[in-house]
Amino acid sequence: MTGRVSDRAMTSRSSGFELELAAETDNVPLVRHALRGLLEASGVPEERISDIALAVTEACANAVLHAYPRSRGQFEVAADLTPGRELVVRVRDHGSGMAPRVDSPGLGVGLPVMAAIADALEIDTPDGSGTLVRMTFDVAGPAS
Amino acid sequence: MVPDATDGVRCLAMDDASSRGAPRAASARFTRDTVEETATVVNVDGELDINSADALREALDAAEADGCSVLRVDAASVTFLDSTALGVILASAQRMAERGGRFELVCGSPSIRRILDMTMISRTVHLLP
Repeated sequence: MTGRVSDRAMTSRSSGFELELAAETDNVPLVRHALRGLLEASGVPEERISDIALAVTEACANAVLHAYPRSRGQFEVAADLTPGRELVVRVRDHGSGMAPRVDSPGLGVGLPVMAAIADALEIDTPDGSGTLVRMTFDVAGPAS
Repeated sequence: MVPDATDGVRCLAMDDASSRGAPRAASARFTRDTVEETATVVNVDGELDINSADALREALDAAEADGCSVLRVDAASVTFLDSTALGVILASAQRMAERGGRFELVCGSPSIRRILDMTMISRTVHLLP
């Protein structure tokens, strides 16, 4: 797959990561794989990992597909896994916001999928530009 | 008057006896046609998402161009499926239906069943276990 990644920065912590990526399609699986690594290392069940990976992929795909229809831009992803076994994922872009698109290239089910999987879903336009998607997931830990 | 449940049987027996040698009126008809189907199978593995959607579209376009009557996508080894790739699959399925063909999706992997179930794609695409 072609695509350029610019200004990539990653800060690893014991319970999360932050990524700043070009809004290109090949960066979406990169986010998913980082998330999967975090959750696998934390003992989250595979079925839950698959669901969360799907929801976060949909959020990132929205940023790549819709945020910058006429320009290049970036998006940021932050994942925090709290000791209370709650995962918070924020996907932020600085694009055109959630305006309706009659020429939308997507299937239109991304948001419903995210809403169905996440235990909480918030969508905001902080500072008056772009979109911030904040998803909270309960993640069941290993049997203790 | 309560109809006798056995009347019909008696009547049939009488008819049969009285019209021995003559053709009987059949209650069901059967015809047989030979259908010639050509199937093209596209095998996919790995992850189907926004990053591989264009490659998937090219593969399905090429398979449709074969003029097959059945297009089967074997996604049993696919480990991930998102809505962008699902849109590509649906578009191909619709094109196949419009020309009288059939689109089948082999989707044994539980990791991709979730989005298929959530989007109720089974109403549009013939799913094979």
